Amino acid sequence: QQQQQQQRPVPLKTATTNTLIARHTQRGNKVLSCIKNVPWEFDDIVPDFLVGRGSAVLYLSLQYHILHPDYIYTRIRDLGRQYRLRVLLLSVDITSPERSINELCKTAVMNQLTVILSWSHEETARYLETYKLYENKPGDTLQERVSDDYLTQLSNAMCTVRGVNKTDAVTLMTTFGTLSDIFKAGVNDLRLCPGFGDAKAERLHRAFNEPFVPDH
Amino acid sequence: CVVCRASVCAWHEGLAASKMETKRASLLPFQARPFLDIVGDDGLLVLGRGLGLERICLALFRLYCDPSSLVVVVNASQHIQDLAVDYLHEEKVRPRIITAETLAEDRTQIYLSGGVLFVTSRILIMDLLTKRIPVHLLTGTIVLNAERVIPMSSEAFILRLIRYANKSCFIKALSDNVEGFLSQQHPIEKVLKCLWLRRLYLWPRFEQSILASLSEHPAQFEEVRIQMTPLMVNIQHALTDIVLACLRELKRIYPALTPESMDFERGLASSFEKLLRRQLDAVWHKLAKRVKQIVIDLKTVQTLIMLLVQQDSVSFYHFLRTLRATDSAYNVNSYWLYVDATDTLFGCARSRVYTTVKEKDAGGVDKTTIFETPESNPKWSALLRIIHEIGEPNGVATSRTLILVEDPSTCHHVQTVLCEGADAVLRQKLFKLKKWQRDFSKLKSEIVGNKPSVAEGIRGDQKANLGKRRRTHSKVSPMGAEHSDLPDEPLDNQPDEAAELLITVDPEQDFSTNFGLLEEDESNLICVFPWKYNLGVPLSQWLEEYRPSHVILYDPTLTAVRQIEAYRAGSIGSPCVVYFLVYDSSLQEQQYLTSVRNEKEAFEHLIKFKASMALPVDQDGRSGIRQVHEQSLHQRDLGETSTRNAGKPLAALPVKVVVDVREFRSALPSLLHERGLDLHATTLLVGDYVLAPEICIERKSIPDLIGSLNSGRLYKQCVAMTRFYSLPILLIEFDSNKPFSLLGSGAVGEFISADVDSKSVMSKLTLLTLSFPQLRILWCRNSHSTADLFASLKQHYAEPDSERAAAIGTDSTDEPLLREGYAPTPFAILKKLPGVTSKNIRKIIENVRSLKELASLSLEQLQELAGAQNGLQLHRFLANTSKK
Repeated sequence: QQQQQQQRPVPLKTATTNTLIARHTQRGNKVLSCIKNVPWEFDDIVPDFLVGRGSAVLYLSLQYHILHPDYIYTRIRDLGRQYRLRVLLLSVDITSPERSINELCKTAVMNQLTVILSWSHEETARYLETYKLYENKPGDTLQERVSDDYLTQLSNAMCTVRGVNKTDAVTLMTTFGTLSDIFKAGVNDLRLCPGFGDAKAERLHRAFNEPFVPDH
Repeated sequence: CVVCRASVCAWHEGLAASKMETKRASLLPFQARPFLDIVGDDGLLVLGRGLGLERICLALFRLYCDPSSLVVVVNASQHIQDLAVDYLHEEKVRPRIITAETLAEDRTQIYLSGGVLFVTSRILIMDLLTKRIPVHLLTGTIVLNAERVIPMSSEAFILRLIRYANKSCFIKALSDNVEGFLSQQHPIEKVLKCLWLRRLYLWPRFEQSILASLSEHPAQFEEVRIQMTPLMVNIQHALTDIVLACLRELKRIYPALTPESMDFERGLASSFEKLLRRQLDAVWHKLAKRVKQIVIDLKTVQTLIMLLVQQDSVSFYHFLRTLRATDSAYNVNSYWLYVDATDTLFGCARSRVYTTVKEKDAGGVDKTTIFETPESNPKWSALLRIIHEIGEPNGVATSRTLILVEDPSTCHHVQTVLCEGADAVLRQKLFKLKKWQRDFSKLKSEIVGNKPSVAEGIRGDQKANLGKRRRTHSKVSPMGAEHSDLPDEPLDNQPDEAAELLITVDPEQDFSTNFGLLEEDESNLICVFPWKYNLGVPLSQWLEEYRPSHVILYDPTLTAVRQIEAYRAGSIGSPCVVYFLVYDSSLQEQQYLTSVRNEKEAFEHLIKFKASMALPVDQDGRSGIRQVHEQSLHQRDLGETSTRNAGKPLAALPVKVVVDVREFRSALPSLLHERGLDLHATTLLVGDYVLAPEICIERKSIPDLIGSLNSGRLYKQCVAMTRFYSLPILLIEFDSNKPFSLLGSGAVGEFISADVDSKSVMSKLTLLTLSFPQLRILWCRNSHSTADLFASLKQHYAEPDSERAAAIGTDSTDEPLLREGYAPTPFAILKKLPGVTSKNIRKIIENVRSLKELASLSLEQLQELAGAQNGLQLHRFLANTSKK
């Protein structure tokens, strides 16, 4: 399909599950030369890249899309619904891509594709590698984690007040000693903490004294 | 000299009484013409800073305090709202403030009763969209702080909503921040367009009639130049060096910065950090941690430059210590702490507080003695000298002196200086410093327990001091205060007699620091007034009430000087001498001069613009041409797409979008409305926008995206979206002013790591799509293209149901609690405390009034509320005994 001129030696067929598979038509795609972290090989597949058992990638350069606007629709139709995750990997290589991206994003919503944008070959290659390497990684690592160290917990709580930072949390802790005493502090005590402006002192004081349930 | 509490109360009462009398205070002579301008015709009034915009506002509001008119005031500061409510409460219809706390049902009634209403922008948008406010009855809109009304701001949206629905109401805009109109990105033409205004009224301080009016009764200014002590000069040099070193380093590791942002003089100007941030904002998310740290450092050093002249030697040193301590506690590795000049800075700052004397004792052994000899603030002695001069009998029967300081904490220490002398202040501050050192050493051990890497650094620090400490002997310092050891040493072995003493004289416990009124005797009154934060009384008003014969400007600022001038112009007779206290050749002085110059230049620019401005005849939208034109533009857009995609008639196009109320802070709703979509505002628990029964969209700007990917919030939101909608969508919205790229600028490979890095945004985004294969992603260059995309997506789906959308997710965790009107900030703090879970938080909130009350509960009470284990955990956290 793209840049057929540059021929590369075909890697040996070592069809293991750890291998990223590229479609034959991708031969010569410069992205392939940037793939360093996973083994890859060519095979006869419907999508452009197969990055996992259930994950397929269609690759499209926006330059190519401008020249051949119908191409991608054919590919999407051919791909069908057979993969769990279908990624449309767009390479942004034109100067004002807004219109094309809008159009393709809309198409992706209608055809249940996940759009990923990339701005360079390296970035595209990194996405492909990451998809392959993370094939079996659980999504849990994206979940919220809270550190259990005292100072971190304290500053987490204090920093929910607008304008309060870590330094202030340390200052509060060292000035008052315990969280109870911080909550009980008068506005003037807060005001006299080094580095505290009046706005900050008042905001904190308000937060500590404001009833949870406002009186109506 | 005695602090006289009774007299403070008396003054408060006197003030309240006289407020009634001067309630109808007329405009000052030079304010009349600007006022007539703005009353006469719609327009934007820009007044010089400190020339009394409040008075003009109040006069304007008074005109409309009448049941027959309905005027909404947009973008008003808290200060002016309070003033208006206070001063106009005797009018036929009192001004009222409408915020999120005003119930929706009540709001309709309030709007119908008329008068002047201050409405929070978000609420006003909601009420305009839901037609709760009778727009056709609106007499007019007054926009304050007009420089902030830029394209895509909520205020611009409000004005468009109003103008579309009501062509005849007036729009008047006011501002006294002329520099605000100079922004490159949003020049004044754009602001005027957003304001639907065609007229510009400029009233700078140098305008002929204002000048004449002010010079009729000039105030007598006496500049008092104070020399900094040699140590202060050294510190200032060190700080300058640090700024330079930071800039050099920044330039070295981030060569892309333009030269003008690296200008040395700017490096010292207070707005420099903002300038730098604006330039770096475009790439902020992909800057190396080190670059970011230096920008933050620059800000810290700037604060230090300010504090050097504002605070006393002990507070300054204390703040420096806190900075260093924070740095090591969090392992921040601030660049500036390792610059050569920083040693000088710390050394000099310490020398201002302690004197080290080395001598040989009888046995010939070296011994080092450390005395507490805090350096007095040169401003204090100047202040005392002036007060003394004023106090001398000079024929005038009584003198009233007003000392203007910046904030209440300065007010507090100036008061103490006057009452108890400079030593008392320094003693208090020293006591605080010692207490801090003692507590900090405790905290240090806490951190040592948790973070081994940090601990090493601190231990090393202590070891270095150990040798010195052994040879230290106790001596009573010249000041008579209890002697202290080296500052690095824990002090808990010494009973602090001086401290005991201080507590008894410490006046800060219940004495109001907002007003400090001192009385020497019947004839000499001295008042210390913090001009920046005063509760309810603006400086101009206070000058009127107090009628000082002498004003001492302790912290010089342009606004205060202008207000004194204005006061002089208004009050006939009673001359007044103004002392202007300024450190000779200090950076503070430079900043003052720059602010004067900036304002002048800004006005000159606007005057030039006004002379040549050419605005469309129907910019004000009164004849409706502009509205028709704008609408037809979007209709055509939509029409085109509809014929191409479905060929449906225009009327049948689905146009309804459900928008979360919190989204009205962003520009997108305004743009959607511009495209003819019908917005339905409601509180959404899942998603930000609902386009169709199956489509739910979570909008993320790039910083948001990165933040919520890291915090895990996005994961949670995706779980919720996929649970309730078949077509969940993540919208990644770029900022049109920033480069369109998630990582680097593409060609530069350095931003993309060679390996797959689990911490990078790319990896997290990949994992997110792997975890949620049904999640669609929209990438939008800016809000405009988002709006286009929404409009075209909508055509293929049915209309959403706002009630159903609002009901979705109501059973999940704590969101409904917030919906029931719980106070957000205390709630957020409570939620973060260990031991508080989504299960027990409701019980806690229902039984405990506030965080303060929570702090006084016993272990048993907490356990009863939160459960045995959680209660224990919470109690330990509150009492700081949370060792496992």
